[in-house]
Amino acid sequence: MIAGESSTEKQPGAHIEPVNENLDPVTARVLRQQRGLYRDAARRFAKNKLAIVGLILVVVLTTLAVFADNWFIALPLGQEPRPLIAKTPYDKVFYGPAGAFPGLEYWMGTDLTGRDLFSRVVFGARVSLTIGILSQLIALTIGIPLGGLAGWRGGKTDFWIMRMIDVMSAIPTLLFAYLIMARLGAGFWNVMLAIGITSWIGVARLTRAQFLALREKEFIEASRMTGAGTLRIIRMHLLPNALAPIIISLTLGIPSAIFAEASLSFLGVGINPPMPSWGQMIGRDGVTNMTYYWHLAFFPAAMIALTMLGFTLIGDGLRDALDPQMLKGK
Amino acid sequence: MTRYILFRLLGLIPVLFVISLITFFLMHEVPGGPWKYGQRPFSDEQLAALKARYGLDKPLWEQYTTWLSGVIVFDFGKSFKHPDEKVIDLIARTWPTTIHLGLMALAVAFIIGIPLGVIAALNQNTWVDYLATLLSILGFVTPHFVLGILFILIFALVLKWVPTGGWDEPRQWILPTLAYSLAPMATVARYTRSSVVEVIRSDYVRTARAKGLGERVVVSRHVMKNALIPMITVFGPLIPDLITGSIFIESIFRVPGLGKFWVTSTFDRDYPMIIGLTLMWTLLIALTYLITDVLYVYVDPRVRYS
Amino acid sequence: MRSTISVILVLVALVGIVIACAPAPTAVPPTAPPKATEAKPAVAPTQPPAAPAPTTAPAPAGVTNRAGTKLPADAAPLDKQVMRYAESEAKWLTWDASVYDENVNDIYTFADSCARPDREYVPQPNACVKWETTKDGMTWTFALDKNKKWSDGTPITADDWVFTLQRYARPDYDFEWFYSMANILNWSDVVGGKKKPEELGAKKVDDYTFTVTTDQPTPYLIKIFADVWVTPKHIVKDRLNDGSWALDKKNWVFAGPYKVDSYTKGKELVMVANDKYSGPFPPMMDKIIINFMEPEARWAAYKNNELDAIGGGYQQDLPPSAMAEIMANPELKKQLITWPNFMTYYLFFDTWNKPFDDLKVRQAFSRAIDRDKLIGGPLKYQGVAAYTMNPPGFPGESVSALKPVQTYDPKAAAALMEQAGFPGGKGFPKLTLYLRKADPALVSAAEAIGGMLKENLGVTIEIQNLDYSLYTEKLKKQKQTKGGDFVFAFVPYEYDFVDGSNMLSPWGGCEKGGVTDKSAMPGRHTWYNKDFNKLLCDAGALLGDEAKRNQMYQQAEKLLVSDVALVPIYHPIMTAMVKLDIKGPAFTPDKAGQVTWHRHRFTSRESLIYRSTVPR
Repeated sequence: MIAGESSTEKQPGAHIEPVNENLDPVTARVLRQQRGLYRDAARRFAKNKLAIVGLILVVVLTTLAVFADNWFIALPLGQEPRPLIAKTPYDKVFYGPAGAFPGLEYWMGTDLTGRDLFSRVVFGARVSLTIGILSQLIALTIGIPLGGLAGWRGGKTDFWIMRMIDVMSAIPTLLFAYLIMARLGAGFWNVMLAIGITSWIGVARLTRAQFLALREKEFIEASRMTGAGTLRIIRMHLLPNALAPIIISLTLGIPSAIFAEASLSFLGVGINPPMPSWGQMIGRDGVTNMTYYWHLAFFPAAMIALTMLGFTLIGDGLRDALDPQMLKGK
Repeated sequence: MTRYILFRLLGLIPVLFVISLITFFLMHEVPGGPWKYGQRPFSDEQLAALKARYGLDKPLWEQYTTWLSGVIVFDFGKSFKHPDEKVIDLIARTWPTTIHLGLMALAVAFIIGIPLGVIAALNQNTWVDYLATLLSILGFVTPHFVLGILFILIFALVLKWVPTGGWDEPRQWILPTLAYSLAPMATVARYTRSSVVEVIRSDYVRTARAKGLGERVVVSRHVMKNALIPMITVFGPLIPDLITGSIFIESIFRVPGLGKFWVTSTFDRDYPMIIGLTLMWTLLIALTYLITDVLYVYVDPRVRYS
Repeated sequence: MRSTISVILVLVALVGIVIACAPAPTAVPPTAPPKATEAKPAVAPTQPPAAPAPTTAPAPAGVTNRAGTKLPADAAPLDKQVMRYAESEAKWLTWDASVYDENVNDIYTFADSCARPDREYVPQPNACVKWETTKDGMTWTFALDKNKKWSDGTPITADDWVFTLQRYARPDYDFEWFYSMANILNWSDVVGGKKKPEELGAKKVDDYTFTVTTDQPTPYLIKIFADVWVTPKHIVKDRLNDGSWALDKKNWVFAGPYKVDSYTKGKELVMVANDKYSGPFPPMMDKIIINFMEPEARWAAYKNNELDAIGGGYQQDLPPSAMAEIMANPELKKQLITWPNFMTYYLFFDTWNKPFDDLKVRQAFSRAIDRDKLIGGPLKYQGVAAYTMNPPGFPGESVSALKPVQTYDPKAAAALMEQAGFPGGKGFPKLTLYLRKADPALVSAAEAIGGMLKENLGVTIEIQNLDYSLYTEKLKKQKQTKGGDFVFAFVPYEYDFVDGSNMLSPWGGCEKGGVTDKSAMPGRHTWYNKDFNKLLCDAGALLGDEAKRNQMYQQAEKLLVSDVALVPIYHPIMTAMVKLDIKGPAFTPDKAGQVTWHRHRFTSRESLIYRSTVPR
């Protein structure tokens, strides 16, 4: 018994029936069907308690990130921007005593310049999440088309894309990131760019491997025989089927990117202070002072852990909800 | 198949060439040089003399061809940072330690990660699953340098079980191996879980169960084998990553390995070392992927290469 | 079946490559065997002449180390006379290769210098037992210690010293600029290759005498000669050797109280007492082990008794958390040694371009920074507030006189900013404050400075921590071209020798040859003042009247500080932790009652410590 051997029997009529994309009623039905699939998925997702916990986590973190300050309200009124969620702006020095431990007044403590750590963690959410998400989006936009193309077309296309991937993955990430930093200067956008450009290879390889395995499957051959177009097959069959591993890799990729930024900060070429990011907070002051001022590393690390937990739970929930084989079983 | 492999290996040569070219010109783009800057800038004459010392006074293309002609006879030049050592010797001196550490970490990651993933998958959506997920997430979310210092605090300073670092006796291997293995362990566990979950749901496993096969047989013969296929793409790249070391682990635990050079060679503008390491990485990565792809054919007969 | 064969084929290929690249991929720690084989023969031959019997038999009566020095009565047994330090592994093993990339602390231990400053920074005879100058102050005659021998038994002669100076005068030597301050005749021509090394103003008179001729009176020359570390001519031979001679084990020939016993790359450098040494610092501690370790690993290793001393160097071994821990723990506090260092951290500007070409802006900046708050916060236990370039106690300092010029006054600062046309910071460009490979605590300090400037002046500041290469390239570019983004930075300067001329030298010096271009003037910063240069130049050549000289330096510094070429932030306090069983004359307080743990440069520290059975 080998994987996929029995796949003919799990192909219900929907996939085998001849479809002509030019026919309006059919297209409409397909779209309706698709919408139905996603509605089903959403329903399954909503039933998954853990996934909802993850969603709540991510929503809370995103809220923190977006509403860290109320710049969009304060500026028109010409007032001093007063943070909505955080207590003070992230760069307000000597707001409290230097190096205060967590307590009632500064409940995550203060850092060595007397800045409120809670405020910094909240502002750091914006920076870290943006870096994590945007750099992964960069990776996806490069990785999925390339990997998909290679896996689907095979042959020469596959060969050349794979050589490109070989070349890219052979440039050590840190070296590459450092080169970009040295050329363009350290800073927010450059960090994101460097991480995004160096992390699409995994996505591409994953997509390719999935497409490679899937294109040989009988249900794909069947729908090809029925005259379905390439794009349609990719959209209807390959992408949904390849989605699970990509989603998992994405949920792991976001914290990875947050870490990559931390490593760069640890090596001195990350986000430029005083702008805070969790990685930088851990990588610079946090690690150096862990033996005594433990809160400097603990809270940002805990935030990264929560973020990671959130994305992972969502990823798991989505995977379960979108699993096409589960769909077919219904 | 053999032809395919030979073809891929031959295809590696142009890749190596292209990468050496890219790296060579990229690394010279970064300002600075293999000398340490002191308190004040060098005069133009001093800079010229220093450049001459390292052969950097010639045009770039000439430096490249000189380097390339050395590579043909497997001579990657002398390290700028360690002037008494050739790049090859430097790698040969430091890499065994790193491979040693990496393989130990890899072993730990697999020995704990795979069972963790399988158990989580078999007990999907129970507290066992959640606990395993949480454990693997914790391993993944804590940066190496935080983990390293935390381990030293706990196991060396508080419990006094092991020294804070060094690499002379097996006792000193424990902490770096543990700290190094947690992230790959998490990856292994997570991918194992998701892969196994997917396979368990498939019809043929259901069929196998329906045929009355014992749970153990189903898991070991059907589930594991099929779950392995997508996992290969994930686990393959873990290996070159692990056996080339980490600067964080090595500097915190004082492991005299290769890992730090991935960063310090750039800091030091040690050009021969940068390009030597890059090519080593290329070779490793290419071979890993080749093996991955070949293994794919081996475990999944429906995949074929022409 | 065929695919199985292919798999095996690839595996074999991979294994082959691994083996080819790494001859010993098995789990044998590569460092262990060479260490064992190297250590033994070195110990065996040196021990018998020292004291074969007494070391073992009358243990409590006193221990004699391998160089024959008798240790005090409370000394621990010989095998305990080992000192373990931590350092980052450097590239070179000799001073004449590079000063910025060699293990500085080792040099001071295994090398020997002409003069050596005492605890009060006054140069004292060492290898040069006597020196005198001619009336015009242009020629110095040095008499050498005739008993001095290299560790291979060869006498150390004037040939070695002249050769050393000739070696320093080579263009690819990164500390050449320091020796150029000695104004030795024909120096720059020899460096530039226009004259032969024999034409340098350093000449052998006889085997144990040499002379140095300068092109202008240079009263502080002897202070520079405290940093002339003799090189073995009979070993190096080639004047232009890049320094790799010292990396070859067979060239290990040393003049200092210690000699290198083994060097295991990536792991440690082991030094042992040199039995051929004779001079004012006979070695006490028998063996010194330098563990190569990054700063972040050191504090834990010290606490775990894997190191005997940390701190007191350039790297931050004791970050704020370690200091807080020490202060909260009486047991640890006993091991702490702190002392002031002649060093200044300062902000500097590009005063030739906008926006800092306006004195008012610079004044506003200088008065908007509350140093005391910094000292209480990110710089706690790390320094004292600074208002001048020359630190307290340095020759020619004017700490109390100049303090009011830049004191903290946020209101005055804001007013100055408004006068300069930037009320509340409006219209002022966004700035980047550059740092040079700063450790985390210093980045925090920079953030605090940025925060204060934002609060008091409304200026937005981003911080960028550059590595040495990038920083220095930017610095040079900024001075040579007109403008750039490198207008504002925060860096330290540590004295090279204790003389009023030294710490002002980054800002200027003698204007030679009637140059009119500001960017070609001496000094590294984009600040120029003709009077300042003249004062520095005249004072440098003034003979015999130290008080007058120092007065001129005070005048010069007043120009510097009033024109806000810099904003001094703090003078660091050195911190070190030393285990309590390390004892010896090194811990006697100096004239000011201060116990120090200076780098070996001053005292050859290891010669003044031993391990005792009774805690300090």
